[in-house]
Amino acid sequence: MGSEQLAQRDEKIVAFWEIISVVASVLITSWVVVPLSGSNRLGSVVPGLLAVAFMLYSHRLHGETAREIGWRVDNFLPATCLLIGPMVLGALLLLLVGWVARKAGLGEPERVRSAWWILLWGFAWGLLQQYALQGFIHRRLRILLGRGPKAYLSVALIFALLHAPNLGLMAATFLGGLIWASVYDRVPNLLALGLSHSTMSWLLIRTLPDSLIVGLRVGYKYFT
Amino acid sequence: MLVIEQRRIRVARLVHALIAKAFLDIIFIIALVASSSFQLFEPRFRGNVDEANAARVAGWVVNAAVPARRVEVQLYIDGRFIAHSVADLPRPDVVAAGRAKDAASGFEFKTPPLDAGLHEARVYVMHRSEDDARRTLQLLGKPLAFRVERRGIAAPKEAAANRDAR
Repeated sequence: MGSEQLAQRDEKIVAFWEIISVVASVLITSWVVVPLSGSNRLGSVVPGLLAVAFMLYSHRLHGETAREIGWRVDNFLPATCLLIGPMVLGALLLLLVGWVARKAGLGEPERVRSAWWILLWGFAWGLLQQYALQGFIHRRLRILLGRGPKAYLSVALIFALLHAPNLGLMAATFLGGLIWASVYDRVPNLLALGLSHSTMSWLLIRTLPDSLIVGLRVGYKYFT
Repeated sequence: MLVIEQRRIRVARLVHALIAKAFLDIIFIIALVASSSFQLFEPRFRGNVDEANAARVAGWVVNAAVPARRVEVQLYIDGRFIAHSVADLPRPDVVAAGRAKDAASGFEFKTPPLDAGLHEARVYVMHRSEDDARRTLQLLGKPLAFRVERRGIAAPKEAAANRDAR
């Protein structure tokens, strides 16, 4: 094995562990910190901060600029144009599933969260998730698997896994993860993805009965 | 060759960062688990069930972490909940023995009428988490067995044995 191949192999192994490390931080938060820290939310911040610090350091070592990662506005419109079609289809699908579910007596959608929720908290949260998912995990999966469908599928699977054991949400995040990964691969813009993420989350809440999405709760909190 | 060397250095630095993050993750989890254990299962209750018979179940308990706070106790006989109380009866003997700083640490339950035969009394200390989101019961001392000869009357030998066990 030549030194180039050896270097490539080492980079792939490290990329794999980088993904594992960030995924572990999310799982620690949702399965360990939430049940143990109770109402003290400060504890939830620590694994997240560690993960963000690690991702930033990794970007620096890989020589990735903020622009390459997708923190930019110049390609916002092209990215949004690519997202509009799947989002409209997704919205129609959600409306249909919601209508069928209501007819089947599965209950009504949650009415608590307002449009302000999506504009402020939803967008910030969606942006952070898309950054970790596309800006970091997807980019490391490219090192591991190369660009293309294998990477999209892996992004979607990881995204769905992080929403376990909420089956309704896992299905939705798998589909969303596939679409967002394919769009990011063509036009990397995290702002457009964050906006799409928060919009689809809001639609999910407003269209599907709470019995299907269980208040978007994941991890240990799903059972509470 | 230089590029390969740079890539190796980058991989090495990433490995170090991964190890450091894993180490910090583990330290954080250990700290969280330890802190939660203290909150959920307070280990600083001190006390004993001194007596259990057909007439009464009595003992003392304090929380060494917060001695001024009165401790809640629950009596179970043969696995069934019987009564709830607060350990605030005077127990100067406990203070004199140097086991507690506050004399108001005693508790006493009146034993309900029981069928003749052997029974087991367990006293549990109730612990509330800071936000009262969780309550846990912890066994105080050891379960005490006692015999009832006729309904509601203690066997003299069992009562004496319980007193000796103090």
